[in-house]
Amino acid sequence: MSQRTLPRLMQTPAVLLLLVWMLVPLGMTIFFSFIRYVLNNLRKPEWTTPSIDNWRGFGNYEYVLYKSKDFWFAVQNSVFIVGSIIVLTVALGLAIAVLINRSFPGRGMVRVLLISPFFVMPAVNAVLWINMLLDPVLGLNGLIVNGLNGVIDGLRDFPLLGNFFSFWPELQPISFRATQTSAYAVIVMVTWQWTPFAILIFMTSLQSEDQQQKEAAILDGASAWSQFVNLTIPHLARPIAIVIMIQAIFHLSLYAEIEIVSRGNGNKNLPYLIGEFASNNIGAASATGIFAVILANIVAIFLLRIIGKSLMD
Amino acid sequence: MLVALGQYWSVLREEIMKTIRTSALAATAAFGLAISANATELTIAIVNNGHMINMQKVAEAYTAETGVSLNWVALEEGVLREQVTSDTATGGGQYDIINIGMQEAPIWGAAGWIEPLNFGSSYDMDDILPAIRAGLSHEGTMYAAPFYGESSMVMYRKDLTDAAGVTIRDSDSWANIKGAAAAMHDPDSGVYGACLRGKPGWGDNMAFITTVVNSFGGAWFGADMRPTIDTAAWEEAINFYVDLLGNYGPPGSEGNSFNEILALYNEGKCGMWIDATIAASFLTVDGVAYAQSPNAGNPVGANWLWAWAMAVPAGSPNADAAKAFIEWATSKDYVQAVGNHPDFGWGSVPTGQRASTYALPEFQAVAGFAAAEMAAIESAAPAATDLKPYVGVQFAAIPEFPEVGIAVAQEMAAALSGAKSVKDALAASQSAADAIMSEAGYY
Repeated sequence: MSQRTLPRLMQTPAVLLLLVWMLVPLGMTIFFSFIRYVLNNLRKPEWTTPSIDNWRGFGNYEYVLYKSKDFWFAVQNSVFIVGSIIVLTVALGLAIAVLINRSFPGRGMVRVLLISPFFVMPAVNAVLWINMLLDPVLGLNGLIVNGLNGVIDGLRDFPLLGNFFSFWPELQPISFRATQTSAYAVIVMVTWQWTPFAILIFMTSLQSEDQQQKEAAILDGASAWSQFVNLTIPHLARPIAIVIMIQAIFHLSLYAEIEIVSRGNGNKNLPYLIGEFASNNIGAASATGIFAVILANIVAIFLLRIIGKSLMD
Repeated sequence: MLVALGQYWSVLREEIMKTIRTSALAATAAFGLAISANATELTIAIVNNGHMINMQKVAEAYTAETGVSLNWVALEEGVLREQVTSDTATGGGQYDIINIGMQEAPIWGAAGWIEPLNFGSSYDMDDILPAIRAGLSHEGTMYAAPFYGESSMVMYRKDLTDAAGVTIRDSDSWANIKGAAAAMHDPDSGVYGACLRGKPGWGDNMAFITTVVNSFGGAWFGADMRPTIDTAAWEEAINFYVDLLGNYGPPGSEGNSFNEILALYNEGKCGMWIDATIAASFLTVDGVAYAQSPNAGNPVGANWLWAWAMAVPAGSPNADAAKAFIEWATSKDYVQAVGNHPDFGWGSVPTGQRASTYALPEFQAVAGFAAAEMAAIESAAPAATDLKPYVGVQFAAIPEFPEVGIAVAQEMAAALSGAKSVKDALAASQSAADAIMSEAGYY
């Protein structure tokens, strides 16, 4: 017993600090979510001070749930964006990691290039994608569509074949800032940035894969695909779990990309909704914050149940 | 569980910073006092656009003359608003001087967040353009001094209208504008008839859309401050806007605001652009001509009015030094200082704040847009009218407006990109605005 007392005592300050660091903001957020609290209001100036006198029970929650415009849309988007990014990064990460696992000339160079998107700042990433690549007029997107239209135009002048091409419609560039597409723009740019993370993790664990087992499988006549499914994937279960967990944590709080792509038009998630409320209505922002905590916990419990096993093994 | 809570922090980081600032109010204020005891140092929050960035350099002369050292915090418009609002609302005391706009100045003055500004006779208060001065005042007292002001006007390519055989007149009808846009529209050679704002934001697409709505006889709120977004005027105006920009605008217009369109315009891709008068001093293409904003029968509010102004947060320990700096930075002398500065010159002086600037021959010589800009600013009508009970042309000077504006802005962007019908977008806007206003205790 006494052997444990000393280490615990020494841990106490750090644990206490973390606890305070967590509980004070959480407590304040819960408090604000149950009172009327706005930054400025000319009709009811008393609401501008956070005081217990402005208690309104679940009023903020009701407002967020039933009256404000975008709550369910934001929840849906949060889950959709995070889910899509995880699926895409794990799939792409696996494929690329396996591909560059064998040795070939210039492997070091290729690996460095593959990792580099991860070191780009999120806001820079978003600005780069939306203005230089996805912009329908000045970006690569617009240039390619214009080029294709030019080629089709040229083909129309051919004898015989030209007739066929004259039925082709003029191509229109897709705007990735529109309501219908802005969520995809966010998914694409975050996937580009985070696939290197998955590659990095998978690559390191592939190096520890048991080569003797693989040789035995080859002797038994196993195809490359069944080796991948039956040996590599089970071996990578733990790193996959780590990649999914960490990404779920990070991407539930996406903000910069959403702000830069379309200011929440079509891709609003919970953090962005909180930001919008916080322009004046701190009570509603806090209530939404509590919903975000609940959502994060649901996702965490869900993930722990599904993939926690591979972590515990 | 711990993991999940950790995640929650990052979600709420912004929120937490605000609450920490609130609770650390006393400490911050004391800290600020301790610093200022030695030498006068002013911390100034500015928006990061051209004229303000230039000021950092021009003001070196001010420091040399007075010994007051200046600490600049240049922020992007949206970030500045958020920072300055939470700092001022909670009495955080980070800044001695803040850059605010016309939407904030009167309501912050009314709330007592910023100090009234009274300058000596050499400042020549009457030289400030009356519309700008009214927009920055509450009950006759000026709370923020204008650094530069702007209205909106049509900036069109005379070479293209001539080639297409159309004309654009001052205060033209919207129907004629649409005809001109259609005549100039030639996407195959990379020219779009009309480039207009579509990026969601109360200061972005809604600034332009509100002027259109005004010119159709609509308004944001009715007599009892109930939103009137479901009226026929709005429906007509938004249908027109979606039709004009959707058919004769560049693709991806729902992502375009001032800076994006400026880039397109200077690439020669726009036939006309209706936007801030301040844009005129940034245009680099040839053949640009100017016209007063079009309307659909109601010219009142067809062109907006905005000013970036400087104010002093209430209770700032350096209030006197801060006011002295503002007096200098918004004076006639400052205009001279920029005009005579080796790095800048008369093309870069801040405009739209003082009548005397427009009378300067050096300025007139380099600014072809001066007359059109002055006319636009003078005709802007921010005051409450029979149609609308609030102050402001392209916004309402109430604290809840940014929230309402953002909600409606996103619906309008959805209507523009065809994700929603105009009718549905307006219905959703109305109910969102109604919820925000009733939540704020207006009715």
